[in-house]
This record gives sequence, structure tokens and C-alpha cells, in this order.
Amino acid sequence: MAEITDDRLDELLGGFRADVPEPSTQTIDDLRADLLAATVPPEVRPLAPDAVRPLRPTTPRGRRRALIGLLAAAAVVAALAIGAVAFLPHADEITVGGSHAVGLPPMPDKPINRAGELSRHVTMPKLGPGQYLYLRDATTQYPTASGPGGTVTGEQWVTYDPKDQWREHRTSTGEAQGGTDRNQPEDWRGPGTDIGNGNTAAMRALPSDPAQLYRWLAKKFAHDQDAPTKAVNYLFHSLYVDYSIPAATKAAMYEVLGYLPGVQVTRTTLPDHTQVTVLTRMYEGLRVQLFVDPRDGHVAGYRDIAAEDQNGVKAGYVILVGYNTMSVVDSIESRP
Amino acid sequence: MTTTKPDAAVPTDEPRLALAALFDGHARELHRYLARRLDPASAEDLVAQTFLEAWQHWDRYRPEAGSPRAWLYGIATNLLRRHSRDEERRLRAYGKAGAMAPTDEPADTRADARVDASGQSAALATGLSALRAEERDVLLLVAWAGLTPAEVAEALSLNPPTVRTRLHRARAALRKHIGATAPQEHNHG
Repeated sequence: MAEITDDRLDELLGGFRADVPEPSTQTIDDLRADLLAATVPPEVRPLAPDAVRPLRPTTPRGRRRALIGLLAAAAVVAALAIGAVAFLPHADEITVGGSHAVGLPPMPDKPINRAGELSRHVTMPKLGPGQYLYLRDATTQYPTASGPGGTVTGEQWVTYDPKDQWREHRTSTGEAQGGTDRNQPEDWRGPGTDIGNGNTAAMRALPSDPAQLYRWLAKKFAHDQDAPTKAVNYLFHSLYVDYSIPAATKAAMYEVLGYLPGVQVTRTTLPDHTQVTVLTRMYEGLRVQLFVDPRDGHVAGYRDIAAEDQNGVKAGYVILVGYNTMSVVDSIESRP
Repeated sequence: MTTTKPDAAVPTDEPRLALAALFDGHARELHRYLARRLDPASAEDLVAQTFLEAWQHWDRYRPEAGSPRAWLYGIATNLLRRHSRDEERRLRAYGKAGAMAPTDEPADTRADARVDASGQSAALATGLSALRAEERDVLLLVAWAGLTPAEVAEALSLNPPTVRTRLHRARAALRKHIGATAPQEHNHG
């Protein structure tokens, strides 16, 4: 047996996994925005009295955000999924416009879309002592050139007190991007202080008054080109983990979305026959949608649709769809 | 070896600005390192956690006393330890599959295929998986993150001799492993 040389070892190490995909500018920008939002000084953090105080583990949002980035970079869609056809959008949902102004314009006198109507009935479950907020999400990715797709399922049990135990369990089937490592289940359990990443604090830091929230966004994106689009993106990203948002703040988010361009409001029916409001924005050639239950403002799901023919992807092709449920249970192991 | 850039200038008058400067100077590079260790999605989560952890322990930040890069990579390495089993499984899978990347990372397949031209990438993967986690950390902080052994010592709060020992052991183990499993390299060099 002969050992290889140091030079050869360095060459091998240097080349091994050297072609990992670079993070997109959007990914880095989002991470930066989240970081700065999470580090707002405590003296400017209003607390909503009815706020549920779940911990926000990093994984679901991070996975989803990464998933979107990877999907946006995917070259070709391999085939239309039969299951996806059922979710093809209605023709009246297609046009979504944006703005390229620097900074946000003054808040308009009147809403420019109907997103604010979702603010009327926003509620959050209230946790009693010892109770947990049970969250379940299931995201299905349809076939693309990068793989046959699959489904990622997550369950979380979160508590009021960050020092208490919370648990996250994730599984995946198929080859969904963002799935668990080689489809092995992941089970995390520990205090939220170890695993939470500050999103709850960031959400509590946001103003719960719509006008103040609009001014907060205007300040945040004061020097950004296409600031309205970035403001919409920020609110959408926050709403993906809506269980971490106090009810009053979530209502303010819907109000503010009503004053921002680039948001389209429609309705659709989910497979379980729930009637939901659909908020749509554009993102890297995708029509990115949130399904909001108008009865309580809960984000019941999301869907990404190819907005145009691109890299072999047909406009209207549903790339992924996910559904969220949220309920209160009496122990960390129980399910509703 | 990863090309590195000098540490970004870090203002000290306003911690959030300093944090933003740290992020701007190092986030992309850190993401790349973590993506090589795990995968891009996990890297995104870990970058976020690293900077939040840095913020939570900002009182320990002493830019004048050492390298901010080393400090960040030290935090990231601690966070990576939660994923060490995942990393080892992934490396073993690369080895079994002849260093073919998993399907969620098509670009890696091309890269690894090139590296594997001499039939050694798979052996490298299994060799890395067999290293003790602390030895793998030291080796890859040097090879991929581009830290000097002194910076690794700072990052991991180790004595420099300990770092050198771990680095030496890791390299020796890898050389031996690759030599044993890729005999076609016997005549190399």
C-alpha cells in the first residue's frame, strides 16, 4: 500500500464539492434582512397582548427559502405532473405588476387591492399552561429536471416559554429539494433557546399599527431600488411562518399589503374544500402565492407557479404546493 | 484551497452596523463553506444561526484581539456538530456511489466527476467520513475555509499544537485511506 503525496491530497480536497451552488443575491439579501430585523433593540419592540408566543425553529422557513432559490435555478422541467394540473391557476390571476421606484412612496390614501380585508378576523390560538401549539406542514414539489420531486412533511410542537422543550419532526419522500438527508426522518427536541433563531422576536418587534408598519418598511427599504417589491417580499416571507406573528401584527401586515403594488388578490378552493383568499406576487419568474383563510387570517398554504415559459417550463405549471395546519394540543407528543 | 479575502472593516461604534458589516464581509463565503460540508439548504439555516449566535454573544466579540472570520467559523463549527452524523452519512453515500452527488445538487455531480477522474474522490469521501469530527473540522477549516492553523486554534479555542496534531493526524489518515483504496495512484508523484 502506498500513500499519496501531500500535493495530491490538497488537490483532491480542493476539488471535492467545490461546485456547490452559490447562494443567490436574493438569498443573501433575505438572510441579511432577517438578521437585522431580529436584532432590533428591545426598546422598540411592541408586544401584542393576545400574541401567541411560539418559538420559531429555523428549519421550515430556511428550507422553504432555499427550496425556492434552488427551484428558481432549476434548468428544465422534466414532465407535467398529473397532480399539478388540478392546481392550474385561473386566467384572471395572471397579471401581477411591480414597481421599480427607489424607496417606498408615501402610503396611499386608499388601499389599491383587497388584501386588507383579511385583517378583519385575524386571531391566533391561545395556549394555556402546559399546552403546545401543534403545527404541521406538507410541501409537495412536482417533477423537474433536477429530480422527480417529492413531499416534505414537518410537525412542530412549540410552547410559550422558550426555556421549555419543543420538538420538530420532519420526513420526506421522493427527492424533494430541501428534504431530509436521503429521506431519513429528522427529530429535534430541546429548549427553544437552543433552536429558535429569533424570528419570534423579530415579529414582535414589528409595529402592529398599519401606518406605523408602512413607515417601518419605508425606512427599512428607503435606499432600495424596487422597494415596494422588497416590502411585499418581506411581508410574504414573514407570513410563511405566520404562527410566530402576533395577531395584531399579522392584521397590520394584511392591511399594508393592501397599499402595496405587485399584489393580486383572488380566491380559490383548496382540496379540502376550504375557501381561501390567494395573495400573489412575482418572484424570479414564479407566481408565488399564499393561501389565507379569511375566517382567521391563518396562512393555510402556499403555491409556486411558473409565470412564463422558461427553460422548458410551461407557464402555468405548478412547481410546488404546501399546506399548513395549526392547532393546540395538551402534550408535546400528541396530535389533534 | 478556498481563496480568502481580508476581514471586512468592522465599525465598533454601533453593534448592529458592525454585525451588518460582518455579514456583508463573510456571509457568502461562510455559506459556501457550510454548503460544502452539508448542502445549500442547511447552509442557509446555519448562516442565519451563526450570525444570530454572534449577535447573542456580541459581548465576546473582540475584533482587536483576533480574526472576526475565525470567530464566525468557530460559531459555525459548533453549530455544525449537530449535523455531524448527517455529514458522515452523506460522505459515506458519496463514497458508495463513486462520489456521485445527491440529486438535489446537480452541480456537485459535475464537480465530483471531474475530481473523481483518478478514482480517488470516493475514497476521499469515505476517508473524510471516517475521521473524528474534531479532526475533520480542523482539516476542512484549513482546506475549504482557508483559515490558517493559528486561526483554527482561535476559532475552536484550542492550543496551536493541538490544531497541528489534529491536522497532521487527519491528513495522515486520509493519505493512508486513499492510498489503500485507490491503488492506481501508487505511481503518482
